[in-house]
Parts: sequence; C-alpha cells; structure tokens
Amino acid sequence: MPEYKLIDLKDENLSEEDHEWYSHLFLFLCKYIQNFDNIRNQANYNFSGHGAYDAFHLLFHDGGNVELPVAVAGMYNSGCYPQNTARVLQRAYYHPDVRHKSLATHGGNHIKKALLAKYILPEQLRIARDEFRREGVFFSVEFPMRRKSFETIVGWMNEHHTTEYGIWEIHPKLVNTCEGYVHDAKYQHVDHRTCWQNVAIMKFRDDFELNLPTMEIEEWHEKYGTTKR
Amino acid sequence: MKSMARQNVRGNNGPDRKELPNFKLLGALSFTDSALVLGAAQHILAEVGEDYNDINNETYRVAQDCPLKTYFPPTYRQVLIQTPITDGVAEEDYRCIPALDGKSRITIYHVLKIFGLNDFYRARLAILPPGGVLDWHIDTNTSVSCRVQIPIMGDCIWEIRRKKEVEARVLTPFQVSFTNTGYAHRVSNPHPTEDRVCLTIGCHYDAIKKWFE
Repeated sequence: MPEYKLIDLKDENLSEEDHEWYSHLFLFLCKYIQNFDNIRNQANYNFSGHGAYDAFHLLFHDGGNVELPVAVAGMYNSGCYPQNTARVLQRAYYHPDVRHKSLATHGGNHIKKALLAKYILPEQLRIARDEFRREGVFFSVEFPMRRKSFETIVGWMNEHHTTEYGIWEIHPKLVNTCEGYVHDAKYQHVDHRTCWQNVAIMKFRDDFELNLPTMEIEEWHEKYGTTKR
Repeated sequence: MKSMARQNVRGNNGPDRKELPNFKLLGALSFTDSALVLGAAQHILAEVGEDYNDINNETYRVAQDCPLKTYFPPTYRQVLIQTPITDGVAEEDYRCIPALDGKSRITIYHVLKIFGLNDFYRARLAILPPGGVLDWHIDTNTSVSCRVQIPIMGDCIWEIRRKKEVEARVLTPFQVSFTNTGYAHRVSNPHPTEDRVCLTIGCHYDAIKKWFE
C-alpha cells in the first residue's frame, strides 16, 4: 500500500515557497485534465485559483519527485450556502492512474475509491467543524441517473469509513448546489439541470438542516428528460 | 566506441531516418508555459554556474564512453534535466530528475508532458556560445532515437545534409521541432555576444508519432 502525502493549499502553516510550488503542481494537473483527460466535467478544471475555498486538498504519492497529485478536492462555503453549511469533496478528481471506472465500488475493491474517503474527507470534516464552526456538510453527485451508484457509495462510506463526525444521510430530493445570483433584489438560484444534484448530508448538530432549494426526482425527469450531459 | 556506433545505426524504436523529414514543427509552447520554462532554465543555469558542464561530469555516462569533448567546441555546454536511472549509457536510461534544483527541472518535465510528449529522456539544456558551431555530425538513426528541440534563449540555425543537399532552418524560441539527427547536421549560433540555449530532448518515435499522422 503506497504512502500518501496530503497538502492543503489553504493551510496558513504552509510556507510561501511550498504554497507556490504546490499551487504550481495543481495548475499543471488542471492543464493535464484539460488537455488529456476526457472526463465529463473537464471544463470544471479550467480554473486558476482556489481563493474562495476554505480548504483545498491535494493528495500525492509520497516518494518520487515528479508526480502530479493523484486526487484533489476542495471544501467551501463561498457565501453561496448558508453560513452553517460547507460543501466537501467539491471538484473532486482522481488521476487516471488511481481512478475507478465506476462511481460505485465493486467486489470489495475499495482501495482506489478510498483515497478521498480515507485521506481527504476526514481532514475536511475536521476543518469544517472545528475551524469554521460549520454545523453540517454535504457532498453531491450530478444527475439522478447516477443515484443508485451514489447510494452504494454513501452506504459503503458509512460502513467502511466511519468517522467521529457522524454518518452520511442521503437527501430524498435533488438539491440545488449551484452558486446563486441577485436579481430584482432577490437571491436566485441558477436553474440548470446539472445544478440539481444527489446530496449526502452529515450533521454535526442534530438540528442542522440543509437550507437549499430542492426538487423531486420525477419533476427533474419531466423537465430535463434523461440527458446525462 | 565502435559497438556504440553500431547500436546507433539501426534500432526497433521507430522508422528509418529516410522515412522522416529533415524538420517537422510539432507546435509551440503556450505563453505561460514558455515563461515557466524560461524561468526554470534561467534558475538552473544560475544554480549550476557558468563553468558547469555535464559533458565533463562523471554523471554523464555517455561522455565517459565517447570522447565527446573532442567533437564539441570547447565552450559548448550541456546541463542535464534528466539523469540516468542506472549505470547504463543508453540514452533511455536518462529519466530521473536529480534532487539538486529539482523544482525547476520538474517544471520543465511537466511542461513537456503537457505539451504532449508523453515519454522522453535525457532532456538537457544545450548552451552554444556566441559564434559557436556544433560541426557536422550524426547522432542516431531515428529508428534508435529521435530528437526534439525547443530553443529557449535566442534563435539557432540548423542545417541538415541529406544526399549532399543541405536544408537550413532557423529554429525560434519556444517552437517545438523534430530534427532528423539521423542525418549529418550542424548547429550554429550566429550571435556575436550572446549564448544560445536550447532544450534538447531524446524520445522514441512513438512519443511524437501523433504529429506525423
């Protein structure tokens, strides 16, 4: 089992030199994704900054000196979610070397899928609860067609990667996870088919509620059909 | 030396030199990647100092087995970006990034990867002094190893001689070119006062095949 090194680009204790270097490697990874990795959400990695994030984690193989991160994921609130809420595993990415082809896990082969759950997620939960005093967090996956896989993976996380912070519960509806905008002095959510996502919630307090717009799955299908893109 | 020359004549790593053009422009580095490579190269050169030369260095195994110094102008220098992974002398063995000033070397490594060179070896900075000429010579048949050139400080004049005909090209900074070094070639720096620095990369044909299709 290889050893991994976890870097948080938002960690204030990271030296200026290390911050510059790891940001640099992250940008190389973004370029790699845009040029060579034919993933569905390739365009999401056309971003140069991680400024709005509360945490942005890069996971490296420890050893060797030319590798790009094998997994990355951010955590943020960014003012577009209620103050008590954080989104974890945002922009989550696996390098093809360690990527599982299916969202769900099969046959107990959890090793690759475990990288986010084992190394990045516990740290993001700690930062969300203990440093930013969030009362609950969520992570999400696009498209209702992937809901079964999503349920499998959430079940697997609760079974194999329990943490001291709580358990994951799947929201019965689709939740709008997109950043909003102000129109006619009202805060509006972007109404795009990809904004309505399958969401898993972890409560740090029993009375936590995810206060974001929701939509029934059937309603989504009526509105958008079965498109995956 | 003779056995080495024989190895360089024919291999199984790509088409024969006759099947490839003298020059092929593969593309150009983006503006930001050019700036990164230039910065990294300047950093490496400043770090090693102006007297440093891997041609004279014991880590440069090729230089131990071939009298390279007798072929090159005395002030011609090379600084390796990749060093050998074994004690062998094959070019393909030069794949490591040394710890010394590693970040600049890793930057160059990733820029080359992102450009689309998925596998390469013995990347090095070749520094040709003002007015310097690397006289006519043949490196290896392209069926053994190919060469990619990226000038990063100033233009270089390249001449390739095939069947007594010489084709000349000016290679300009941050353009990425295949040069058919299976034929006799000569490289010169016409500038009277400035060095010319070129990033020279070894690779098998497979790594650049997509640009020929």
